[in-house]
Amino acid sequence: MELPYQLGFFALTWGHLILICVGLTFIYLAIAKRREPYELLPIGAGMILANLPLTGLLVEPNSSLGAGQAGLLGILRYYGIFHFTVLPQLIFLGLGAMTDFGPLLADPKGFLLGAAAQIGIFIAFAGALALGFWGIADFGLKEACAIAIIGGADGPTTIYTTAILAPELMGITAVAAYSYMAMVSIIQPPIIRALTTRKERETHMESQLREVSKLERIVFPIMLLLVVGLLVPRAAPLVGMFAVGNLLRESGVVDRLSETAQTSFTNIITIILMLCIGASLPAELVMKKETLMVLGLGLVAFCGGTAGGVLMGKLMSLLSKHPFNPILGAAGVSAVPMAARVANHEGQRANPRNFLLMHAMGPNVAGVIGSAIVAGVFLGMVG
Amino acid sequence: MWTWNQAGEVAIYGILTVFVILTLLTVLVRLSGMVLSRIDKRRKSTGMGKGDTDKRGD
Repeated sequence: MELPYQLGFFALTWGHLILICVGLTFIYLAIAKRREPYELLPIGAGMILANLPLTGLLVEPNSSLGAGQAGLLGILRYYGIFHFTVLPQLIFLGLGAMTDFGPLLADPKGFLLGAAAQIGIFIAFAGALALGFWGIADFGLKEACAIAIIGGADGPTTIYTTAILAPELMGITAVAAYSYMAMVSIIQPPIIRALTTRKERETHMESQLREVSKLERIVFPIMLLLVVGLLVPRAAPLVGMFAVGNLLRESGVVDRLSETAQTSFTNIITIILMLCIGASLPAELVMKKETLMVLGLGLVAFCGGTAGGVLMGKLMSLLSKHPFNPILGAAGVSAVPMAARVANHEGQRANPRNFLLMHAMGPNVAGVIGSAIVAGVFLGMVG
Repeated sequence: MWTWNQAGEVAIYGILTVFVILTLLTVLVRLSGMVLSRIDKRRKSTGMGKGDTDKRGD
């Protein structure tokens, strides 16, 4: 007689069903449309697992539980994200090992575009606080910071910041960040076209960047580590790991470590981290009006960041002695390398002679550093 | 409870910090680029940099 009550089917709610469908949609987008497959596929699988009732997969470990009672996803989430926040930091090590700072070092103006594209974060920050102030949503300073950081368009930074400041929002902010990153090619072009003239978009830039010496490539991550570590210590767990990973790559003496950090290491962490993100989206947490507001504010942050970058690009184009295409500003919103590809595509659309990809990679990686710095400021002041 | 003053401080400090640090990095990268590329050229011309990329961490 007990059997029917142990079947997950009878414990299913509409919320579970909706989120299982969203998980299936993510898997579809990853497989059929190739949209951020490395993230969306495991996130979708995690969402389905999290919304199957009675599995016990999400039970977090604590002293009152007996042996074998905590669930796998609960354990991974507890130790990897909420309690020690190690997974996003380790991902940054892998990202550092995969990043080529050459274009940024060849043309350091990209740093300024990366800074300007963080403006979206502060627009969403104000928006979230306004919603909290007017009593429309239950957002305070911590929640506003966690939501606003979506505008950095950087998944691990969003996860790290939200896990510390507003853990209950982590699943939704991470999904918003990765979803908007997957939609960069849809979100950014209308903003770029609205803020620039055709003549500006046609601007042809030298396709060759100067050659960056090996010594410069080695010194940069050390310099980055010291500057950011000393000025914004709370950003060091992310930027520091990013710099260490890049040093492994550029040193040229630890090829095995660099290769492992770029491949197996990052792949393993990605599987665990993305499953945990999906598992942080059970119906009980997601089916609330705040979820829609987080998604809306995330979009505002993304659009604001793109606009900020493009406007800075226009300013630089006015002040620069050499031809400068303002489209490059849109690449400042991290989302590596999709935002750089969008900038390149928009440039070629206006002028088929344009080849902006390498120019756009500079602001693109500068955006990663910029959003990690803003996260460090938020954690230092609000955390 | 938060106040708009607190929020303003966070926002202004955040914007200033990201611009100051990334501007500082722009300047440092440009300066170090000039110095280091000269050192690198000199090392290459005297043959000191030869074999640098062949080392492996065994």
